[in-house]
Amino acid sequence: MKKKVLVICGTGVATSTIVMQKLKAFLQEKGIDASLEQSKVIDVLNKTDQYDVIISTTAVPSSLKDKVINAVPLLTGIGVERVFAAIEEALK
Amino acid sequence: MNMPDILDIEHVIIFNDANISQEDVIRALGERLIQTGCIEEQYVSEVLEREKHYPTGLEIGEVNAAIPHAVPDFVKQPSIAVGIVKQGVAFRNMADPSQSLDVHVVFLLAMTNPESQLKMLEQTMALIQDKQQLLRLASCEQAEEVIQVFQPSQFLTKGNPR
Repeated sequence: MKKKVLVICGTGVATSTIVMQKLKAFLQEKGIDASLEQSKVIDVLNKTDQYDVIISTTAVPSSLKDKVINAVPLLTGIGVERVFAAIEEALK
Repeated sequence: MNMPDILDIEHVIIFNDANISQEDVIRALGERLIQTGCIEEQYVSEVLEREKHYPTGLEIGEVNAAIPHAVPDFVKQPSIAVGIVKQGVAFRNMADPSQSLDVHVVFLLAMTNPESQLKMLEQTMALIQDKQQLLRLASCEQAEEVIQVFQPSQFLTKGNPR
């Protein structure tokens, strides 16, 4: 079954949009088929169990830590490979 | 929409003051966007409030950057204001809000629709990811120099061409 990925940031408009673009390009390149959703952190805190992986540019409650991949390196350009490797692993 | 169309020279401020606060920087940059009719006053308070909960400092290295912004509700025209803070200003780290970063380049973003302003976002991020250009920005003494760094030929080739 297709894995469900949620991309979140503080406002749901700026950094999550950047991450979505980079993620789409990466998944396409790897031939990984997943369903992607974009939102702001406050709108999704009570429904995170609907997603297999959460990719976030903002701090999340520690209860979610296991599911969350920190995507700030995709913004700074430092440590990008490690983030993509973690995403690929999580979507296997 | 290329960045030079968005970055108006009126929207660039060089801050020389020592001990300047994050709020001072955001308010001064916001004031320029208000004066040129790009945002409503309320946008500035929204940005300040949001920064408390979701800080936007980005740790790049020698020169750190910050991208304060809020939801589009009070944005009239997509725009960006750039502050070069010579003595540095503290922003909390987006990746780890418990950590404070010394930031020298601040991009106040005002977007109406992320999809239509993707290019502006991507160009800003490309600029932030280019350490040389970021260093160059941080060393600018005049607003005109900042505009020059933003000229597409200066960094577009290093961004994501699309």
